[in-house]
Amino acid sequence: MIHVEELHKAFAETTAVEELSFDVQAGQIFGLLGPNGAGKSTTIGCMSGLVRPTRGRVRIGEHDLAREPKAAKRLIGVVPQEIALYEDLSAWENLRFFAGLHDLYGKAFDARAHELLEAVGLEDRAKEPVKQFSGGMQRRLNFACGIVHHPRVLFCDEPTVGVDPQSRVHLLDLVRAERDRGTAVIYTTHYMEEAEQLCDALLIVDHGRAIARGSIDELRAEVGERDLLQLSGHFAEGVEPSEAAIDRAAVEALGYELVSVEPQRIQLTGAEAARRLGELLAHIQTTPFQLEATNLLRPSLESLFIKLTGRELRE
Amino acid sequence: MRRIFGTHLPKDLRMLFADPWALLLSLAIPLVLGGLMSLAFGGAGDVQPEATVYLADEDESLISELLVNALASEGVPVALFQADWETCRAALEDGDGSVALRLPTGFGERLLLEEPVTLEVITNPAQTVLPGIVTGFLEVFREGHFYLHRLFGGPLRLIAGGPPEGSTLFENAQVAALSIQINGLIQDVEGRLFPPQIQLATVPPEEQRAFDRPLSQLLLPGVLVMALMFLAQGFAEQLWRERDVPTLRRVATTPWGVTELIASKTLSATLMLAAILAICIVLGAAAFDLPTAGLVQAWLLATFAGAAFYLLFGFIGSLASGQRGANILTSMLLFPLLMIGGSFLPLETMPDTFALLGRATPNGSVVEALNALLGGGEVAWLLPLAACAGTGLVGAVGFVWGIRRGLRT
Repeated sequence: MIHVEELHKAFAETTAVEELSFDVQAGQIFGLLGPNGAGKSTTIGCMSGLVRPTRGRVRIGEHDLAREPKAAKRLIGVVPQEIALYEDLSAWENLRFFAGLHDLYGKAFDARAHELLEAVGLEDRAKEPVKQFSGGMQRRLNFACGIVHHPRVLFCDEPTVGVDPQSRVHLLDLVRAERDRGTAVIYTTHYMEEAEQLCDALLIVDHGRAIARGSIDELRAEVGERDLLQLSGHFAEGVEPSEAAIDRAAVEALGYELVSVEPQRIQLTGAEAARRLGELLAHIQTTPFQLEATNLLRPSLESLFIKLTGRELRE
Repeated sequence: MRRIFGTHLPKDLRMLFADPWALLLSLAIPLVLGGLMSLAFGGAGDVQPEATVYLADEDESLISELLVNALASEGVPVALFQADWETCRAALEDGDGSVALRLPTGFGERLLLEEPVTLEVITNPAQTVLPGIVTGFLEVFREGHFYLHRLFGGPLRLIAGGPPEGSTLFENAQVAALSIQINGLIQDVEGRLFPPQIQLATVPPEEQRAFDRPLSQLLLPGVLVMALMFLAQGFAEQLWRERDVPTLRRVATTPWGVTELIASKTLSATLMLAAILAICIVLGAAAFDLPTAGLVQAWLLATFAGAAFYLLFGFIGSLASGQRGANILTSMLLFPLLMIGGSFLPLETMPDTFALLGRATPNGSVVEALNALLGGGEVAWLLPLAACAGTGLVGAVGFVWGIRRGLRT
């Protein structure tokens, strides 16, 4: 349903998206996962016709977005990261406006609006101005406006940012319902657990580049059964943080693999790391690193991301 | 079209009416400008300045009464109040009135005898022009008195001397002698005075002929254009509400996107401008007693110009990265155009080069056309219509381009 080929977007001095290629099938939730500034929103912008790519192709259904933008845009719905609603208008009026942009009028609109307002739990407040709504209610209406015209492709750009847990569960259910209806959903997030719960396939991006891709199971397999161990502290004065400073060979001999060495943190992976933690800590005491705390993460997408980038998703 | 009229336009109008204070302010701008102009230039311009004179006639003679009547006669720009001298002085000391004038006892008799007489005059120092009307009038009176004595001094002195002692009336022979003397004098000067040798014809210089209407009426078209340009600038800035929210980005992902949005916004702004301008033109016509023949055409032209300037300001504003920057950019265009285009000063009062330049600006050409329409004159339609169409076209293309550019970066 969506075909992205070597998509590249460069601004004056930065490259926001670098040679991304992927496909999304109908009835699939495809997660774009990455930290803030990874290029997720720019990728969505290029795919929805909002941002002109420097090069590369995007096909929506049978239509090339650059050559047949109107035909391609008829198929898409967008739920932006920001709340893009007219706050002086009511929920009903907002829905009517965005439906009208896709030529949905009259009884067909009335039926769809009732159905959606019920689905997002706003039917009894349909006539109130949006500015009187809570943040969670506005987020739900923001989502409803993106799907009012039954799009075949839905772009959700971090739709759950800043919402309360109840509204979040509600929104995730709505996304699943769209998927079950046969819509191809592209879902960007930096919440790892959200991606694990929701997505059928994932593309992990950082600095605009794809660093891992596959289904949740495939990506978990890539992490294997290796735990992630984070050691917090600092190096002795005058010692340069480096792999040599903590004797990489000795660490590997204990069955650990070094992920990163920073001035105040060392990260390692290792199978059954908890069982052999004592030996590792005994070795660390012989190095110039002054240990203050340890943190052990079980295998997950989060630990995969750290393993691949040396950074946490929320950094 | 259904998307514009059925979807965009109701939403845009609904958003405009959702902020009633902003709407009232939009209406207030032209009314306040017009009201200030009315106050500054005396409404329709038919109010003449008048000198207020407090006069104490202590003589109460035939001659002093003649002077009082002359001051009070029609055509003399004087409002006359008679009172005793103390009251007159007090009024001037309170800053009330232009002049206090005292005609002393014996004023008439001394005039007839051509003896020195002093008129006491107090002028209001806060007024510069109006007291001059009265002192000028008295100067003419003094000159007239001099020449009257040169011509009729003998008979006047005879009359001032009164009837012979022991009699209350002049004798018939004295009256006949006076009549013959006066008649002889008139016959002597008649050949030199009649017919008058000097004909007075007032011909205003060519460049001043435009002032055949009051200044306030000349300024009205400029003020109307100023108001519509301020309104157009304000309405164009409302697009930032969509950019900040950012519903504009969402609309841009729909098939028709930005073009329809701008078309609809232009339409709703034009409808609002049309309504506000209609009110202003009707009020202006009533306040300045304008001919009704050109009002509808003036309204249509002003509305067309407003739409064109809306698009132009939208374009200029779209080059900025924020609403504040957009306001600065559009103001940098707005104020020079207003200055040179006859909104602050009538084009007729400008030096030739500036006036020529001003008439070539889109707003200046509209001011010129409105001037002709509201003054009942001939209108040269080509320039204002072409200027507005050109401005609108450049604005529309630039506006769409600018908004798309802003969304893509």
